[in-house]
Amino acid sequence: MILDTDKEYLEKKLEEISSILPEGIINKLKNSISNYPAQISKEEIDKIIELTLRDYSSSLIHPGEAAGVVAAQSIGEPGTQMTLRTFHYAGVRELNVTLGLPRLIEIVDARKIPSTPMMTIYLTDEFKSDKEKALSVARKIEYTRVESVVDSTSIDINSMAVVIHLDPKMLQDKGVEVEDVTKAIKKLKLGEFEIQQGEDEFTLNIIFQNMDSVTGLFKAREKILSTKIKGLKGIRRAIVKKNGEEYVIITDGSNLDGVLGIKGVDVSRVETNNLHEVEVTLGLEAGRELIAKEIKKVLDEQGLDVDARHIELVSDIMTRTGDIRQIGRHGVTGEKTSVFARAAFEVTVKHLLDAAARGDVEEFKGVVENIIIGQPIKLGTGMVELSMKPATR
Amino acid sequence: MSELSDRPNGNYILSWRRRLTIYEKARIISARTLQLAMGAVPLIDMNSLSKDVTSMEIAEEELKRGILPITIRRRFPDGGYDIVSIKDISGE
Repeated sequence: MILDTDKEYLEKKLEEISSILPEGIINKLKNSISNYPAQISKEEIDKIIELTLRDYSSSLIHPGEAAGVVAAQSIGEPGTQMTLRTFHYAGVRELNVTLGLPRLIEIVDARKIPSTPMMTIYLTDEFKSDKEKALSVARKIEYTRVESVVDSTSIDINSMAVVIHLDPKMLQDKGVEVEDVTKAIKKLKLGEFEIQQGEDEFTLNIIFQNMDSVTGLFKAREKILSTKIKGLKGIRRAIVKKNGEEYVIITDGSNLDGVLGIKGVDVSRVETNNLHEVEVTLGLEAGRELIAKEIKKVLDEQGLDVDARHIELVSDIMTRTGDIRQIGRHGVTGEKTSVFARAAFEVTVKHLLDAAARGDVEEFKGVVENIIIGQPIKLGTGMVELSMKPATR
Repeated sequence: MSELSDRPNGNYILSWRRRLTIYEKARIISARTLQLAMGAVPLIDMNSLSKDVTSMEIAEEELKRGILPITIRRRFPDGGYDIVSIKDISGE
């Protein structure tokens, strides 16, 4: 701890070095000095700060360090320890999320649609403590088709009608009324038809006036069954879960644009694992953050500890040119200017032939091509240019 | 020297003026070791060193005493460069 009179002095000193040391370290310094059991004098504060500065500057990396190679190895080596099992209960039994090595490959390949898209939707204060309200939002966004509330169907050739028998239990489960189904079917473009109530309130007879063939009738039935009643495209299931004090919606499927427009959704906390959606809706920097976050998630789940800066280097490289490109033939590696580097990666002959036909020039600036011809690499010691002027006697 | 402080990383470049990177140090020692091994005359008094000293140890001692007449050209990504003389670098 420090005397109250010294508090200002500490603040001032920390303010001076705020441009040199990162914020996290300054906060740690402040906390540990203030909370130290013994008393710390002004001179000791000075000494502590000086030692911290010295320690910090001597641990910065030296110019010339092969940061990319180090990052690649730092992620690749724990990667060999990752198991290949892909499924994991994300807290909910029905949802299986891709994790581990396959997910890491998905992220690094910048795949547009992940194999298990998933969203975690937090609700606004008004909605988050009320289970009914949460359920209403979940029902609103879950993509419901006619076929999911249908018990059975049949075709009546005599009157050229499609008969649909609805399941009252499913209707209640999905929060759908018979009128909603009728309304959705009415919107279809199937020529002239009329919807009548059948034997009971849950049966609909859809009679077609101008249907000429039986196959047309079957096609119409298919179309009716796959008609959307409500919900957002892409959200296969929406499940309400209690997370501590609040209710949260976990979805199987992802539709960021749609979800952001739903009332009751806390827009500042919506989470998704679909990189492409985030890049398109929230921008490239958000996409970059998500890449780093998703990779860290994969490694953490496997119990592997990789420093954040290696992961951030990967996400920085992937987003360097303005959109998310994959590390691979159609992205970062494929856009290298060196012919030999591309040829050494994949499709060797094609690259060499095209380069020869075009008259490309190989400049030998990078790592791969210099290794191929046996020259020192322009990193580390290979980056040092010395000249000597022996003293003349 | 005045243009350096205008750069956004001017302070960073200046902070390295009196330091050698580990890569520069390795390169200098290895180059000097090769010279000595191929018959160059040591620039320090051999009597101050132990009897069975290796070329590399001579080179390390020469660097430590700051008597090597070597300069380093440090290139920046924008094409500019900085020339640093080892003799000016404080004893490492």
